[in-house]
Amino acid sequence: MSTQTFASAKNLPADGRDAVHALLLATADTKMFLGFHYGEWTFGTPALEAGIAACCMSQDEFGHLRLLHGCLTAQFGDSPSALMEKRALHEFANIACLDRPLVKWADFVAINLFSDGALTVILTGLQKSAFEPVANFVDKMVEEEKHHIRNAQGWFRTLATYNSKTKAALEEASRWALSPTLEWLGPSNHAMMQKLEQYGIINTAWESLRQRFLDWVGAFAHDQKISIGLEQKNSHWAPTFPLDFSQWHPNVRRCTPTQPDEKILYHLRGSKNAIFKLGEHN
Amino acid sequence: MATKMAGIKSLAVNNFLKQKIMSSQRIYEVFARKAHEEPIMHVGSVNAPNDELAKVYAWTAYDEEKWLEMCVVRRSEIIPVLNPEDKPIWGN
Repeated sequence: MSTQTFASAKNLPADGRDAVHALLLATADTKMFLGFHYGEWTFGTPALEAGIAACCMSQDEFGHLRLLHGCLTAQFGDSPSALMEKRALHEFANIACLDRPLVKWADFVAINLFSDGALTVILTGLQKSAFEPVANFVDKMVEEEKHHIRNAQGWFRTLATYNSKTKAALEEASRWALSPTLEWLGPSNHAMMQKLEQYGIINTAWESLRQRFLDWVGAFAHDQKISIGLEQKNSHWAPTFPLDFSQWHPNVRRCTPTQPDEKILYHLRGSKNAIFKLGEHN
Repeated sequence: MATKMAGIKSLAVNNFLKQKIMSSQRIYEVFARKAHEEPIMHVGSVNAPNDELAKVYAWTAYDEEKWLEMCVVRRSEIIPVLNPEDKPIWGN
């Protein structure tokens, strides 16, 4: 791993620049969709305090999105409005289980633990990054994400132990969320992830980050007696289901041509209120 | 917001869950301070099914201040010293 640091994107080698851009965009997209789902669950939660927590996490995610879009604008010349308005649905690189509305509370808990958790593990990999613009803000994100993980773990334990119905709902939701989350994490031996490590953009090998996530959720779910499709092999946890990365695309971090629900993008883009986007129309 | 309201069955599951969770709530009192030299003070209360979620809820419900320290205490664990029986000292 290189010890060189990069004060801006223009100092990065071209292959490293593409890798950083794709990773930041995928992180921003995932945070945008997490923020939407958390925000939707401000209402209808099992308890008022759970709604406050969901709303609070939504604000965090949109705050992080703003930072990431700011970085993409300053370093890569992306326009925030273009990132939101001009991209086709199939260009979004969020974790695929966030593509659709979350129907039940167990789905919320599952994406809170697995999708937000995987993203947080990647953020910890970006701490002390050689790419200085990211290193400057990622610590604050990781600090705020700790509360998201505590919320996820608290609700996961609560549903896992409350009764057989809550346990079954949690198990179903966990299996639903885990596979697309691992798809988003992608194949560790991909050239993109190797470039990120080679240039010190991430502080360890991508495989170490992926394994850190698997070992954390595998052991945690096992302790709660929830079967999520992971098994322990020696000291590490691995999926029991196949993951075929032969068609995996690094720009969208998906194996198949799936895309988010257009209605969600309609809400996120504020399309209904387009005429009130002051300063954007002549 | 309308997108979430997708299935009647799921709504029933959520309502079942809500009733169950609400019936297992405990009240926790939240205490915090902003500086070492300040006394820790009562800032409010939260309802939560267990200690772990009480900590999360205390943080998310009262995070408008820059707290240095925060803790929660189960209301049932508090031993009153001066407490007229007809007036709860901790509010509702």
